[in-house]
Amino acid sequence: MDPVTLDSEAISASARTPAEFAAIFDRHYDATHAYLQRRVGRDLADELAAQTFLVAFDSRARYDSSCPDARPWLFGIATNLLHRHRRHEQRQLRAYARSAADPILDAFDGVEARLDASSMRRQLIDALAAIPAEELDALLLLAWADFSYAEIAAALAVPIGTVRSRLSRARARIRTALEAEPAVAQPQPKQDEGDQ
Amino acid sequence: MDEIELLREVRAELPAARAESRAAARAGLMARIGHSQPARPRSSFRHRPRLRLAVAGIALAALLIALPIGVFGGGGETQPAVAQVLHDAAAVAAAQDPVMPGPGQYVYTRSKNAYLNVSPYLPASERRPCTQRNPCDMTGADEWSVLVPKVRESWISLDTSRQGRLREVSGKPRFVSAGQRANWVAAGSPPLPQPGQVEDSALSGGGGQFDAAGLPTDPVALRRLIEARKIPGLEGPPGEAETFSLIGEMLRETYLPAAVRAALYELTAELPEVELLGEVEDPVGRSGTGIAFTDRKRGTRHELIFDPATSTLLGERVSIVRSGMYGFRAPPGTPIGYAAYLESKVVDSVGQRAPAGAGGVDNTVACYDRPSLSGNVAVVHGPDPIATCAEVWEEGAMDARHGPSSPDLVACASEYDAGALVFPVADPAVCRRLGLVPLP
Repeated sequence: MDPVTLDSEAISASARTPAEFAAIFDRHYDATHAYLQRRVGRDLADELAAQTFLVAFDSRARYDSSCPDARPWLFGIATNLLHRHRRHEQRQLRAYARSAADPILDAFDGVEARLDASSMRRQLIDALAAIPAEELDALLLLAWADFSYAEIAAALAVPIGTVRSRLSRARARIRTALEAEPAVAQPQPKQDEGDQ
Repeated sequence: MDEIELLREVRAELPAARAESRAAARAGLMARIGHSQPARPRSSFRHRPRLRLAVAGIALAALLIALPIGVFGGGGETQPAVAQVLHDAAAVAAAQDPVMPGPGQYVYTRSKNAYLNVSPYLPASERRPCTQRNPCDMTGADEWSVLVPKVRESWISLDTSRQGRLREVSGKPRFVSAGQRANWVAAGSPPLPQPGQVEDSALSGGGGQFDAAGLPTDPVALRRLIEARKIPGLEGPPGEAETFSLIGEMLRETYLPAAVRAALYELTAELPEVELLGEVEDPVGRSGTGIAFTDRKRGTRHELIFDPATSTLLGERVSIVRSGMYGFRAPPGTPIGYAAYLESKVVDSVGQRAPAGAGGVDNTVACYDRPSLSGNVAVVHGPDPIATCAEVWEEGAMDARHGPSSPDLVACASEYDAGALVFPVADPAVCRRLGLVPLP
């Protein structure tokens, strides 16, 4: 594969020669998987990352060829796939906030799931579980995928102004949660029981 | 500390994706790529009843080069009998109301098919993982193959800015011969396609496999376009066997004006060496008129079976006529691919299986005016399919000449949740004949 080929060129070429699409996988699988894994853990990330590229391949005809970088498009697809696992994500965040041990980290052999005693960290995690999905998507694309506002807008298919307002609401929620009274030693989850 | 900075520290040091996860994801994508055709206008679901090669990406390219595509030079004439039958079929086709979706509507087709998955393999001593960087040379490799039956549903829109859809559910794979089973064992008994596996994909460009707009209705002009491989989406290698196969392709899962369908039968009547099989059974046991073309180079015969009453394509079958280039040691007549087209109609949305206007599939009852899926339909809703349709008949809505009574009715179900289909016939065998399931 020519290293200077743009993603948009590879995707255009894949209209006639589908195998060209493999380059998109090779360039972006690791980042896509890393982001998904950070949100929902390794096993589900395996599944969703694979699915992301199948969905992307099937919808490649609709790719906006004026975007040279396919990453926002791919992360947008991944974000849509994540929505079906929203409850799972929230449950894991609450379990993390409750026990200070991240279930996502627990899944790795040989990686020590170290206890994180910081109550600030726990409040942060608890706040994440309560942020509405559309705000969380914007927030985590910023913090965990290092996306620019423009890239977030492209990934979520919303105007950049909407990105700004979602981010500012999400940050306000977190600040409020962090400024609240420190939680007691083992804060109990509030909504977990009904979360089936 | 800034909350974004705090957030960046959360789960910041997770290990990278496992190599086997990455490899599995890549293999899945390559398989999808391998099964696909160029996105536009030939979309990702051309299924010719030909030997389909389902192998990993790189190996596929090597294999395709290894298979000479035969140009079959036939010189014979079509026999008069087959020409007459096809002229008749053309006349019937010309008189049919075409299935044409309106704006925003879809042509829904349900079929059963089975195609051969052929996989080359290396002897155990030479076996290693094949990657793009380090591809395996599969030229001349032995192959194992398995027939994978599927129930297939497709939704196609005339509007190329919309997405079509394809949904396939795999059945139990079957070896076509003991030799192929032995080859599979020699290949290390790799996993076979799983029964019940569902492939569901969106199809870009409306999902149509070729550009049906503006095709000529003159058989000579249409034949010239097909033979020159000038119809976008219907390109392909030269040769009369391929031309015959393309005609089959144009008759299935498509919306074509009646005059174009008629022209297809007319031009087939002029093709050399097309054979009349007479009355034959299609792959699900419905009887129809069969025609066939034998590809001597490949050692295969391709049959098209159509309903003489409507000139709709009922089914197709590809079988072995001799132990040919694929090296199957299977008796002549062994099928290596087939398809039966069970149902075709216009629906209002992708995913919908009930006829247009039904508005949903719950409690939907389709009352047919004759024991055929090509009949006219009244779509109604009600808990009891037979009682609901009986009311429609009694109102004279189905056939005014019938008077204020209902004929005997039989209710069937498709294998899916498409609601009930009710036919004016006394014999419950109609369900099975139409590829449906009897409802109690």
